[in-house]
Amino acid sequence: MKHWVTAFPRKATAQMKKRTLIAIFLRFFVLIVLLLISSSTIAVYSNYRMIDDAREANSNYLRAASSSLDGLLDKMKDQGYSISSDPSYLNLLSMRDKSQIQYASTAYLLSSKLYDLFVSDSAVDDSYIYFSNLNTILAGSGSYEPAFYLSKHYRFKDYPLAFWDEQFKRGIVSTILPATDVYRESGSGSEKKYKTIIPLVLNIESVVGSRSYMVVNIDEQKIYQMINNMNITKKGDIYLIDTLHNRIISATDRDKLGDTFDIGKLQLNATSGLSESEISIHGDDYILTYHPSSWDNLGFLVVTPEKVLTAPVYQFLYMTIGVIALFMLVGVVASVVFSRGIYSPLAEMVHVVKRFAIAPFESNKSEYDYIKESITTLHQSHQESMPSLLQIFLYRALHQQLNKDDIERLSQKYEFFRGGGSFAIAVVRSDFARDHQLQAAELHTRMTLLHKPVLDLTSTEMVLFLQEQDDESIDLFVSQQMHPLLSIYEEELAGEISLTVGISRVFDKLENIQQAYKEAIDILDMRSVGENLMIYHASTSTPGTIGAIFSSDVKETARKYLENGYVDGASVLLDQLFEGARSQQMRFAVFRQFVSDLLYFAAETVYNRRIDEEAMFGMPAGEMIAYVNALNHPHRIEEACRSVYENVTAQVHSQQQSSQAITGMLEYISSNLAEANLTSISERFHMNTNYVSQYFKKHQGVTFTDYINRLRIDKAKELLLSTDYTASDIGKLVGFNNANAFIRMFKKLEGTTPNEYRKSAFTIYNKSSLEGE
Amino acid sequence: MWIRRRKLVIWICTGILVVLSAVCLPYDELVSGTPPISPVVIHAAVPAFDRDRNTPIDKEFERRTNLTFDWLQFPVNEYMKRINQVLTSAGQKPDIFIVNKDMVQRFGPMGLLLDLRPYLDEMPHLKRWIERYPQIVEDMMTEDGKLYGIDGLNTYGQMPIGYILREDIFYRNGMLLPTTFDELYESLKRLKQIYPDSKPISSRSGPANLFQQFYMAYHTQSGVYFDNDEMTYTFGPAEPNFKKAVMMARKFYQVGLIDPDFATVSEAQFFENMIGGKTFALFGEYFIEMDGWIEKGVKRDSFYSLKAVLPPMTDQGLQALQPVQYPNSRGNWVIAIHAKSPHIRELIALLDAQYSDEIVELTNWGIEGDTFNRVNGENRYTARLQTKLNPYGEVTPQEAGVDGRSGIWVPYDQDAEYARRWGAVGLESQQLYTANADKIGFFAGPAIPFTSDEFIEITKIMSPIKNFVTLKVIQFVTGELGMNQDWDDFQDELTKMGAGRVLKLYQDKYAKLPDERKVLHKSLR
Repeated sequence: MKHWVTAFPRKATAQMKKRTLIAIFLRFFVLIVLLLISSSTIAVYSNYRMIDDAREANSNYLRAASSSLDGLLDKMKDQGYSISSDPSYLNLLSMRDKSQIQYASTAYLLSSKLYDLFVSDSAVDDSYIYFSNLNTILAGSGSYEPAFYLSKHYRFKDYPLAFWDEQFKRGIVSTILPATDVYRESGSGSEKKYKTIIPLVLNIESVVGSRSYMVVNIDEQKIYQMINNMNITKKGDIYLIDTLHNRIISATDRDKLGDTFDIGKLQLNATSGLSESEISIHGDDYILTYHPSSWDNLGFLVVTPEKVLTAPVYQFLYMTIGVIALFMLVGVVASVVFSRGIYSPLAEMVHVVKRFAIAPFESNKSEYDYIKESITTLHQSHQESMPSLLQIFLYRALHQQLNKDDIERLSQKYEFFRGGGSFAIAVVRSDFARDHQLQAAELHTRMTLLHKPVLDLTSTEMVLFLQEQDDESIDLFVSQQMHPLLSIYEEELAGEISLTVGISRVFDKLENIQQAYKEAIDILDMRSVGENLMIYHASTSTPGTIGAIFSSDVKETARKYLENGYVDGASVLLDQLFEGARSQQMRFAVFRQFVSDLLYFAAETVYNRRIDEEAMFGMPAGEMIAYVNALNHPHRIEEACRSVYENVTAQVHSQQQSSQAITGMLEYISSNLAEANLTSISERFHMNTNYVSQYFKKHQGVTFTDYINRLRIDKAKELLLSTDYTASDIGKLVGFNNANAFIRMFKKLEGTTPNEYRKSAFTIYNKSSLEGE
Repeated sequence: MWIRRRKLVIWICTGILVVLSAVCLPYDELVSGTPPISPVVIHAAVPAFDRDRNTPIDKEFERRTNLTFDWLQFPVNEYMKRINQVLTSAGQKPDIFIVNKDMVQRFGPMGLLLDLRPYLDEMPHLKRWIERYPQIVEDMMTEDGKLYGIDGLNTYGQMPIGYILREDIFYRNGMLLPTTFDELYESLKRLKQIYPDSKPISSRSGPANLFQQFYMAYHTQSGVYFDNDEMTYTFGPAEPNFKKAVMMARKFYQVGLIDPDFATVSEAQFFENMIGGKTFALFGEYFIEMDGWIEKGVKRDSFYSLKAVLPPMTDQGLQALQPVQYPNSRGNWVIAIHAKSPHIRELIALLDAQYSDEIVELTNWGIEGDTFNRVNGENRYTARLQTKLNPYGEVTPQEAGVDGRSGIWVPYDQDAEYARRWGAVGLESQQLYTANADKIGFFAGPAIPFTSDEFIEITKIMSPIKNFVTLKVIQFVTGELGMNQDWDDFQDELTKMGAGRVLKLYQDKYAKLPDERKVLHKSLR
């Protein structure tokens, strides 16, 4: 089930599928057109061949058929004429009356002869001789009265009695009459069709104005049986043609009987042997093959409809077209089914690409284009991610997690390492202030645009892996690309940041990366604070001195200045120190350590003096030290240090002054408890009431009100025990305007009322005095 | 992916094949299970008789005999020629068939036909017939005692032909029906005068048959025949009575009483003459035709009437004879079995079954209640059957299959035949003659078993004699030849042609016959 669902074409491929389906269909179509053309060509050629063969066959057939039919007709004619010389016939011819003695026996003999001659021949149905003198018909089957014979017993449909009378009067001409149906009286008296007969009329009497003629009734069916038995071709109709009268005597196609053919129109040569032609009747083509008989007025014609010959071929053609069409349909259906298979991978592909690709798929877009674009984008992003890979590589290299095998494998895998043989490590230190985060990010991006692997080791330190063809190229890169880039920041944020770059010596073995990194770090740490450069080359710069000039005395002096808030002293001291450091070319690392120590003192003072760190440094003291430590430029460190000292000393100084004021204030309050309030104090000490409140809180840790209430209640307790004043009087004495306020406050701070307090205190006192007695 | 597609292609192809084969398989093959065990198939050759072989009776016949038949049928008029071809050609031969006696003579000794003699004991029904009519076997038996076939049988014999007159013409012209040839001569002479273009006597089957009637009037025949009175074989043309017969015919002819075209007249023309009122007397014509002729004749002449009269007497006081049809023979046709058939046993059983009353009744009468009923012990066809006497029945006997033609020449029930085909007039005439068969019947003598050589010799001599006699008698009758010198020459010629030799052959063979066979069977029932 799942298989079917996943195999089902996704929507994304529908349009593409349609296009490909059309392509498949068109290929089918072209293939089928080719098949049709070839089939048609074969069909046309076969037709041509078949017609040609049919002509040949017809000719042969006609030769054979005409010769045997001629033979048959000639035989009958000869037999008929042989009767003419028979004595019985001649005798009968001379008789005028049946009563003549010899009539019966003569007729009997002739009848037997007729029977033998014709009835024995299967093609002859019967034959008869008409004797006009005797008014009788003598046939092989016996004698008849002519009227009975011709109108009832053997009635020719087309040749009634009158026809024969007419013929007889005009003089019988030997001829073959067109075939006709013969009817005969049946047992019940009605007529029934008997046979189809071709009457062969013979004038067997040589004298003109005959008194007798002979008719041989040829059974047409037997003739066609004979023709069929020749078994040469059965595709055409055979016509026996009377060329003299232009009429059909007999035809295998019975419908044509009685029609007259215009032999001239048929373009047949009636006299000279075999001839062939074609004719179109009602739009159908017919092949005519004609052969004249040995009889003057007869000919044999085979008419073959081309349709009959070509029908099987056309049938084949139509069948072929049908089958092709069927298969085309099946093919289209099959291709529709199969195209699911074709498109599933593409759909799958689009599906996969969709997950990675940046641009979403638009349904009017080609899947192929989409995939192509996405893959291109992916490739680019891969190209861009190469440095990232190298970053990892760098990271590992710096942390000594690469061995020789790894390096070999990597250099085989990545083009990058094969680019050139000179490497160097650049360590870039930056110290952006907090409010310059954006610029920091920008710098990082710009550094990546140098197309060198950049590794951020900390927020302030980046490592660049430089790789060029040779040493000069590295110098060139540093001076022409790196330096201008960094300079921009130096200029733009002058005073706000500092950038320092340390570049290792050039090396040619990747194993040396870590060593080179250390070198680059060292050059930065070892540089002299006296030098004010941005880029330090390991090869060119000289390290500063250790400079142990700062004795513990100096440090102690700095601390004293800080604790006592001696602002000017601290400033002068720092001037001396920094100047000294520069003048003796102190190492940056040492310098930084020294500054750290100074800052540490400042931090210590802040702690001791309980000065608010945040307010002082804008950050916790530890962070401040780290921040200053992270600065790269001696100037910047110097500035920061001075600023710290300035602030701290100034603060200490002001604190000392503040503490003198508060002491006065407290003394005043305790001696004038009843009168003391914020107003009286602000007036007395020339301070704003708000400031007094803040100041009090700042220095005493409690609010002025809380402080004075506590003092008043303590005084009241003293008075309660030592005097007999009432509670309300004591309240007044210690500064509460009414008794209720005094009692509420007393209860709040002591948990009991003033009277209760006095009562319980006396109870304890009495008891102790009693015991003392 | 491809595999999946290939599977799909295979499935599609298989599907197409299954559909195609399902379409190609005939439906009934799919539906019907195994075919039932088929009974033995018998190849039988019979004349077609213009009827189907799948009538209810034919099916019933197959059921009762428990056989299936593969019929080989040829039209009646060419059957003998075709079966002859089949038997002489090399192809497969039918198991059982009808042949004529000549063929039995020829093919029997060749070993083509089964000798039935050893099987007679296995055929109780046939045996019963033989007991009644021993000549069934005797006539067919060869000299060395082989029985190569069984004659077609009738339930009983009859006299089918006789003298028929245009009764109405005689009466209309104030004449009684003649009883002697003289009276006949006189009355016809008068009628000829009244109807000058008439042809009072005519015959449809040629001069020989017409003359045969004259010969039989004088108790003789045109060839070698068995003299019923003398109980011996004799040669007719050499007898004095033969000359008398010819002279009587000559007498009739010379006054124009015989159709001048008698020698050649066709059957059709004869019928025309008969129905058209030109012919008044028929010698030896089939009674069965009478009703048909009357039917047609009445249409032209409402008085038209035919009557059969007993044969007239000759001047010598002899009453003319007419041939008898025996119960054991319907002519020349014989049932024979192919000696090399693989189903001899079944064929013997079939042959015997055909002589059982049950089968005879089936083929002649059909199924009781459907095609016939038994009334007072007699069978009567039901009203649905079309007969001569019941012309408005639904089905003809041929269609119903009760024409006696089912099976292979099953014995003909004469009563059924009368009920089917005969009209009242014909039947009455036939009964008149049959009743008098004893007096007027010309019985055939015992059959003589000839060898095939003898047979050929007889044929060789007798065929020309037959033609010769016919032609000569024509000439004597017409007056072309005289009755004195010419007659003697005629007799001499016959002797020269070897008639005596043939006669002697007959007589010698007859003499050798056992006495019990030297009898004349006169029983027709």
